[in-house]
Amino acid sequence: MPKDDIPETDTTRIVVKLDDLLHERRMTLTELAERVDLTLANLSILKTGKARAIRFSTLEAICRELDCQPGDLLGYQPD
Amino acid sequence: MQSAAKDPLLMIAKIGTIIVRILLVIGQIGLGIAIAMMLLGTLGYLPDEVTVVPDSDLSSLGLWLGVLAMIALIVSLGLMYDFVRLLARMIDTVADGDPFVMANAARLTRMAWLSLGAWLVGWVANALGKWGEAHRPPSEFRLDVEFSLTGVGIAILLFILARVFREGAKMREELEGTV
Repeated sequence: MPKDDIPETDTTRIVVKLDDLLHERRMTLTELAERVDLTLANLSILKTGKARAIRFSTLEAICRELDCQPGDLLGYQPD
Repeated sequence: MQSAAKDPLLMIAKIGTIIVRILLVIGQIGLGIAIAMMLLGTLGYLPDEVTVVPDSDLSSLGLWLGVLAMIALIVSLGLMYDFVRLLARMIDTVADGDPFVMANAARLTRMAWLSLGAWLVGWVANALGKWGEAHRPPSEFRLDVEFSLTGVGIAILLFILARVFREGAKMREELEGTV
């Protein structure tokens, strides 16, 4: 299935607030990608809310570099 | 991603599938020519020098048994050609570094059915041979076809492998989108 074509049933209520954190920390997505050893493509997938799952190792690396808690990065939006 | 050119195993497998397919086509063409020559020779359309079997030495039944057996062999070779073609496509996906896809599960299922089909055709040819040998003189008809359950075993193995690939493709799909 193409990554940009997620069917309705696969959308999630988990919100990724990466944009806000990057803005606060004055960091670009490219810089963060290098620091957490993730490809820019995968980080973009996370930022745009298209990711289906996130590894704890990725979450840990992002929180370390952005000096934040997982709850700062992820939110839940009910209906 | 490992291209076939850099991986000796994939390269040998790929070349093997090409050679086998060429040989299968040659076999089918050869059998077709043999059938044509037998029929034409029996009907008297060919000079005696090129007739495969002089019509006085071969009864009608023996002739048709032989033709049927060769047709069965042509069908069997055709099934094997399709089998090898699907195998070649799977080798390509391995070379692309992405073998766990639903398409390969479907290919393996089809290969399993082809294997069963080839076994069945072989069983028919064997039955024809046994019947022919029992009812015709040995000098007139003889068909050596080995009967074994290997084809059935291969089919079962391929059906199971298809399930494995289906699960693998699902797991791979789940991984896609994981960061």
